[in-house]
Amino acid sequence: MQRWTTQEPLPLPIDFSGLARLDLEFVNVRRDSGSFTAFVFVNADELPANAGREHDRFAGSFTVFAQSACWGVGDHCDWKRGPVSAFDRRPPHHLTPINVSMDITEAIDGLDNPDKLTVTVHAARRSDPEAAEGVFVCDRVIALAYQ
Amino acid sequence: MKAFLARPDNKGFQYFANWHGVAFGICEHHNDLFLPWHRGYLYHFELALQDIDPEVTLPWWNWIDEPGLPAPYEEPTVGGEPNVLTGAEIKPSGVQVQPDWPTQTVRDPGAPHGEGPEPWPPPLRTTVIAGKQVNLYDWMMTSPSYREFEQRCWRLHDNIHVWVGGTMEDQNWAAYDPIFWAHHAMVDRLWRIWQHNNPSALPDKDTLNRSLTFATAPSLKVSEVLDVVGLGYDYAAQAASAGGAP
Repeated sequence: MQRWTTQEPLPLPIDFSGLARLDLEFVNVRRDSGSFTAFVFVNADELPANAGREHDRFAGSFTVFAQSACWGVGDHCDWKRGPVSAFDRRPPHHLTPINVSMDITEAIDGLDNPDKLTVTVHAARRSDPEAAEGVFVCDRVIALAYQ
Repeated sequence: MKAFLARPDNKGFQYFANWHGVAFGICEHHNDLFLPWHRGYLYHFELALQDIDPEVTLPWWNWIDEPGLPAPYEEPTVGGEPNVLTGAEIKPSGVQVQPDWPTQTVRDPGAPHGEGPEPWPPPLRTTVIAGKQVNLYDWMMTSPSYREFEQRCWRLHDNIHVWVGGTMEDQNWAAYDPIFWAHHAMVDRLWRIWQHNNPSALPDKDTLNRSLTFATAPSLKVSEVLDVVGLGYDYAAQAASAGGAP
């Protein structure tokens, strides 16, 4: 299982009491190295590996159905390659990373109006539960607050 | 289904399984074409089935309300013969088969594999999150827009793929498992129900005009797959009949 935590807490300039909704958005989640399930926790300091959906800091989960491995050769699964010319009307590469959005408004209900948010993700592949890296990969996580 | 599985040409099961991952790789996921593309995929698949038996229609697997795998896909035998719905061969075409590629579908439903996160087991209608009862079906069905519905729907769709495990967990091979088709009939049915309740909530104009890529004609635009009745089917909640007048 992979454990990932935001390097720095996300600052929340808006007072929790003034929030109508708070979303987390995981940007450019990869889907080229196997399907996985991710559990997302907020402001959880010490989480056991088996922390589940019943944990009081559990914020949500998502599962991504992906391909296990590249079955071609060369640049077959290089999603970074864009159109080869202005005449290339093919759709984007099928492994182009995706954004995953999660409404965590209810999850922050029990928190004591902190001004920072630490996000921890536990992610595992059923086919390789011991994998500790490369399971969940994204470019960044954004907290979107709505008043 | 047995004849369909055995059919070696471009009207047989293997040909259609090829479309999704290995070898044609033309499926759409996690974007605005996810639901329309798979509806067109089912359309082509069902027509090919009906070339063999015009009375056949695709069943749906109701993982919203039913636990586990559907019994017809698990029973090892039917009428004393092997049940062809339990699995299938994997025979990619048009590519050079690699020695480490699977040759037969497998499933591994639900069994925890470690301490880490696991997908939800069916039924998915309700679940408990941090001590609170959550209705996932309502969460999906109250989506205020097509795009939102599609995103919530793929979350449950992906969950089921991974819960089944084995071949179904891998986008490269999933469509070779016969249960893939019942799973996607359910996804399509959920979209149909949402459409019924939200008739004016359409994909955006650019999406409506986009063509869907299939390996067999006809190609279809997104706008052409919105109406399932126009594709020759619908999802009845119940059916009842009475004898006719003599």
